[in-house]
Amino acid sequence: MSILEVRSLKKVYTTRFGANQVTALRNVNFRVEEGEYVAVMGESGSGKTTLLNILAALDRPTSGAVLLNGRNLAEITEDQIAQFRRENLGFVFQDFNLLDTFTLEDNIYLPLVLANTPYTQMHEKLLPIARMLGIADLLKKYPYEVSGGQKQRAAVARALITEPHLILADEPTGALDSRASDELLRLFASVNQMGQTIVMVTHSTAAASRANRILFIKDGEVFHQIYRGEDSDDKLYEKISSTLTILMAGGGHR
Amino acid sequence: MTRGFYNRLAWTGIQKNRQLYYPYFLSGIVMVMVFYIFHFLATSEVVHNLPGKAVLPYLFYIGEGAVGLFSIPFLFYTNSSLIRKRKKELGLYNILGMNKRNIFSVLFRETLISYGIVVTVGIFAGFLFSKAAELVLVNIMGRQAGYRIYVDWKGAFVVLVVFAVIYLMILANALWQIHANDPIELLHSDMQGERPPKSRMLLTVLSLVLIGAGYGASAAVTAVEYQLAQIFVTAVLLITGTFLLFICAFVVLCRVLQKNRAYYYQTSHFVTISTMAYRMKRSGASLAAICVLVTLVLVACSFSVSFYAGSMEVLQRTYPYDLSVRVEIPVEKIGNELTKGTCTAGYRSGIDTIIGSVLTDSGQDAGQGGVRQADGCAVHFANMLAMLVDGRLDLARDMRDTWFTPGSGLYPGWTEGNEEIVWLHVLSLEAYNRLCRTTETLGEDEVFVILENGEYRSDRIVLNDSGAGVNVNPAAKAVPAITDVSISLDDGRAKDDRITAHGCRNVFLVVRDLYDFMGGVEGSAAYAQKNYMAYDWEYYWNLSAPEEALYAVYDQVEAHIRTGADKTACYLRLERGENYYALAGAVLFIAVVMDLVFVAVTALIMYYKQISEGYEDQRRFSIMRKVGMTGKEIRASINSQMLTVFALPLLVAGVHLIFTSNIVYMMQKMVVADNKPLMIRVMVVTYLLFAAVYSLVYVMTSRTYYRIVNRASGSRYCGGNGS
Ligand SMILES: Nc1ncnc2c1ncn2[C@@H]1O[C@H](COP(=O)(O)OP(=O)(O)OP(=O)(O)O)[C@@H](O)[C@H]1O
Ligand SMILES: [Mg+2]
Repeated sequence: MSILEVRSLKKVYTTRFGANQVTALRNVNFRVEEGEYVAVMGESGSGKTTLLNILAALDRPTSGAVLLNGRNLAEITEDQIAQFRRENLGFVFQDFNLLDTFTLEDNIYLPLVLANTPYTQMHEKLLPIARMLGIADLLKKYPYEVSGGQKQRAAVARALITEPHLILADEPTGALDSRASDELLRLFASVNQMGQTIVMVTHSTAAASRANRILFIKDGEVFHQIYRGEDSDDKLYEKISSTLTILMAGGGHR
Repeated sequence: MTRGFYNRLAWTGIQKNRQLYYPYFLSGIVMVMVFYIFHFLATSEVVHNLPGKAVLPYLFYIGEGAVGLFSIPFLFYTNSSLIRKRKKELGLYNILGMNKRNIFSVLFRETLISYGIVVTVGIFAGFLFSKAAELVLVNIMGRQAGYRIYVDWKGAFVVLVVFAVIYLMILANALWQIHANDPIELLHSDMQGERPPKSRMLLTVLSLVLIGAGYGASAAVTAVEYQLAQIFVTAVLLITGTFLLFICAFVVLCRVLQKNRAYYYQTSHFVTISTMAYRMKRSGASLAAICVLVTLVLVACSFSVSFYAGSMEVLQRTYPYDLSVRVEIPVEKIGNELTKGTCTAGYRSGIDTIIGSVLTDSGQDAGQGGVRQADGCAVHFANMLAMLVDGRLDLARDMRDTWFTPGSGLYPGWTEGNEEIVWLHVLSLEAYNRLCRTTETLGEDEVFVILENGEYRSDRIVLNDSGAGVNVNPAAKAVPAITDVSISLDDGRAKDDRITAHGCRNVFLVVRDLYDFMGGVEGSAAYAQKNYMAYDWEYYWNLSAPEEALYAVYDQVEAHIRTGADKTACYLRLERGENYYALAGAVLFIAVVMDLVFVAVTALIMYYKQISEGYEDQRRFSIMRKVGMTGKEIRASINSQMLTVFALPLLVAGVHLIFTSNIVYMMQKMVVADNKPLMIRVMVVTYLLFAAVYSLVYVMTSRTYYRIVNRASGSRYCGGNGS
């Protein structure tokens, strides 16, 4: 069974007075299998964040359905979703969404605390992740005291610390330099190796080339997919680059 | 840019920020209204015809001044919440090419519009309510009032000037704040990352020390009128302590709780405690202000209500008879006076004639309200100061050697260590029985001792230095308390003719023979020296008659007794009571109006607090939801935070009230009567009533908060009852 299935998803934003309508997603269909590592690409404003938000049930689709583990999100109550979110889902937000009232450490603990995890256990989980992300020395700091990239890594740590089945990451390398990106991508790869499923939105070809599969979104639809198959990272990188060129040029379906 | 453009900009500035501007207008309007009403009452003809005409206008002028003074920090506070919110918008204008002078002129117009609206509506509302206020006041005093309605133009003019000055100051402050910032800072002023609250241990300890010291100082107050400085110090200590407490102590508490990992890292504590630290840092000053205001309201209410409620009792105790006359008898004439009435016979017959004549008059036209019944009684007293040592009356003490100095006006209190100075009234058994309509008897060398508010615990009184004395008749505990029937309770010469009780306890000593007991002329002269003793002849009348008749009798009697050469005094209870009621009524009225103003201020501070909290929390709670907090958890956390934050000032104010009740008690004792149960009852009722009003305000303002928090998140976390 697919861990995630999206059926003819449509999302129309209506501005406050109903005057303007923006169709962010027109007709999106895809599925993600258990243990997959999927990258989602597309130009700015193509609806990637919208898609992730709907996948995490942070937003409701205008029509269409999202099935998580075979269950339709639309049929689950708000509180059950919240519970599901903190038990099975790790979300890395494009704008981090760290709480300014917490230190980075407490921000990262938040989902675990909500799940009633004892402190010692949380601490044990935190150390390796923080070390790998290079924020072990910053844990006692508050968000306003650290850089954008450091905030992003804290947000990643918060998403990973619960060892969720499904990780939804919205441009997790957006604010990082190439070294930090590399480390983060290595962490994602190892997490994926352990069996966690990852859906990652990215603008970076390098980041996308680490995934098993790349989805391209254009005009609110899945425009194209590339499977890694037996390709190496470099081979995949080239394929992605050429696809992006076609995408920008405004070509049709292949 | 044209003039019209600025006007439009100013107007839209107000419109766009109406959520903040309207309450700002409202607070200004309320202040103007109350100010106008006080001014109106101070000059009102009706008030000038009320019994307390001597003191009432004065009190209202004080009230007016207090409102004027108070509206400065208050309007500044409301305006600064507004400025904070608007800095961003003004910064944007600046970046878009308006220079600071242009911005000043927009702000100037906004201030002008605010001022115009506030004074116009305020004066109009003041005009509407001034008549109502007058009627209420007149009613409190149990009088009739006319229904002439008029505008107090002079009052309106004073309002215009006073508030023009206040708004100019506000404008200057706003300009200063804008001026001090550069545009980029202005633009970002509402989204700077907030620094985590520091844990300031030292200040916390200091706050507790200050509050403790304040409580101590309040408990040490024994005589309000001579310790105003101490009361002032108490207030300063408590206010400073309260502000520090709210700004620092609660943050420290949160920090300490955060250190305790087992406690902190629990679902129900985690978010609440860490958010609370920020909330307390942000709201500390406002909450402290609320707390101080609440304490003020409670103290003012408790005092004025117990003052008003107790005034009836005081009047009855101070003037148990309708009409009373007092003549001071020189010591050397007391022997003849006691046996033959040589000094007072003239007065007595004169008064009898006057009362007799009105009695006869009324017999003919009782319908016009003459005196229907008269009942008189004359008594001799020896009044003096004496000392209670360990509860035993000691007449041998030379009062000149004590801390009491007549005329110095500086008594630190009537009690020191095991000694208490009392105001002693000695009278004969025969007079006592006549006054109380009893038939008590006393043995050889026996006396009754009757204490005001208390029981005489010793079985003897001491008469001379060698310790000799007389026994107290064991029946003394059962004899009628003369304090209920006798005059001269609080009208000792030691403090002239003030109607205020001075806090010195009255003690009555009933002896077999006054002349013998005082040791004849020689002994009396010694007492007069040592104990400031003076002989009084007092003549009391109860007259059932209408007011005018009583006043007529009073005028005649007063004129008559002034013909003699002696020191005399004459009181009509009615006349005394009217002054008294006027005072009590006006104090109550002003206290109630001021309390309403304070409550309005509290409500407004709360409202602004809720709005700013709402905007701050919006983002926070939507993040929590995204991270996986359920609506229920968020709701629980919000509710417990909001409740804690707004219950704290009320609770702390309650504690303040308990520990400062001694001052209220002493004030009550000074002005009214020693009636602790009444005061406690009033305090409890006031507190409960205020808690109810406060909760209502909280519920109403928290709706705004919930609306703001819910708006952004798209889902409802909260709604008070969680619907
Ligand atoms: N809350 C909203 N209300 C109205 N329109 C919105 C809203 N959120 C997004 N949109 C619109 O929907 C479209 C898709 O937005 P979305 O944020 O999903 O883009 P994106 O692919 O994540 O872009 P980026 O790569 O820049 O993050 C955009 O045109 C955006 O303007
Ligand atoms: Mg996006």
